Amino acid sequence: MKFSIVIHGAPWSANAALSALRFTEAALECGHEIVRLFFYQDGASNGSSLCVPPQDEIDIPGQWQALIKKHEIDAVVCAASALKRGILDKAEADRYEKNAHSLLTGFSVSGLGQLIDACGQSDRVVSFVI
Amino acid sequence: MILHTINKNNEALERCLSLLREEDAVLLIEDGVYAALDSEENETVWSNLSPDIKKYAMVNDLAARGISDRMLPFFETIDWSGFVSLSLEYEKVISWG
Amino acid sequence: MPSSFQTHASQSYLIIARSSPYVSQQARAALDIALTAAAFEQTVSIVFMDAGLMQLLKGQQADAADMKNIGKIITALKLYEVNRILVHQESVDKHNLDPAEFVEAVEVVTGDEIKGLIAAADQVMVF
Repeated sequence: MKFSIVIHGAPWSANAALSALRFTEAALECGHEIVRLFFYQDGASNGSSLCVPPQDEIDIPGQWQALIKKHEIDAVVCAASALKRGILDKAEADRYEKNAHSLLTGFSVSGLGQLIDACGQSDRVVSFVI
Repeated sequence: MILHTINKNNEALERCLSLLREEDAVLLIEDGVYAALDSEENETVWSNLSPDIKKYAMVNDLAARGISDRMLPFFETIDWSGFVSLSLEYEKVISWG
Repeated sequence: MPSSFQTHASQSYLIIARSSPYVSQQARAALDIALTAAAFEQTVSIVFMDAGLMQLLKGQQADAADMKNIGKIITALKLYEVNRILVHQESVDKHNLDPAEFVEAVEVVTGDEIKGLIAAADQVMVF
């Protein structure tokens, strides 16, 4: 079966990101397919390449990255949400003349239409909200 | 047949419960598991619901909060793969926050 | 890797807007998704309930708090082909509001009708 997961919460600030991660892992372990991970609003922060979690806490962006790479998952950060929160790929960092880019490898930035598209392709859409 | 998830024990839970149908199910996740704590107030909330409505709570969230042994009897505890299975057993999942 | 939009059968969306405007991004997010889904030719209805009703009040001067006026976005919903704009009867009564005084014409629906709408929609998102 095909799942899309919508993540509304930033890593560590709320439970949403970790719950979404564990649900996604379980779905994959059960043999299901992830159509898309869509990181929306505060969820965009999961796609940051600049998070440095304390040593005794789970590296949520890192775990997303590993999962995305292992299963070749389409991980999209909503563009409007990302910009507001300083999650910029190289093209946007250049475009807005910012001094760094911050999108974690494996993630891409795209519009809210990707969420609608994911809904159309998936058997189930599960949202993790704050 | 809808699976409703709730992650807080507040008015969002009340609103969710007010819109349930008998064939639906509720899954308490994250802080929502506090709504399963055995108290007079919580007992009233859940016993007022149709008994046909299935009630679930996430085992890891209960354990994290130290309330696994203090739950009302209405709930079945599930883990992540159980959540995945439930999401497929029901037609869609609605997250109430 | 960027992904392209695939053409699928149109789905029906019910957006449940139950957050007050201005305190968080929730109210805005609900409208953005409603508008985007409509732009992608999905059938979209939005139902305002609980604190979400506050989004519909006339006379919001959002710029007084340096915000974007949410009422203005709501008046654009029909223009962008959001199908139905609904309000929850019980919430209206509880907050002592009059839908005739909202920024936009709305249909008033009961909790039971909302249950039916929730069941019928392909996608239901709560904000």
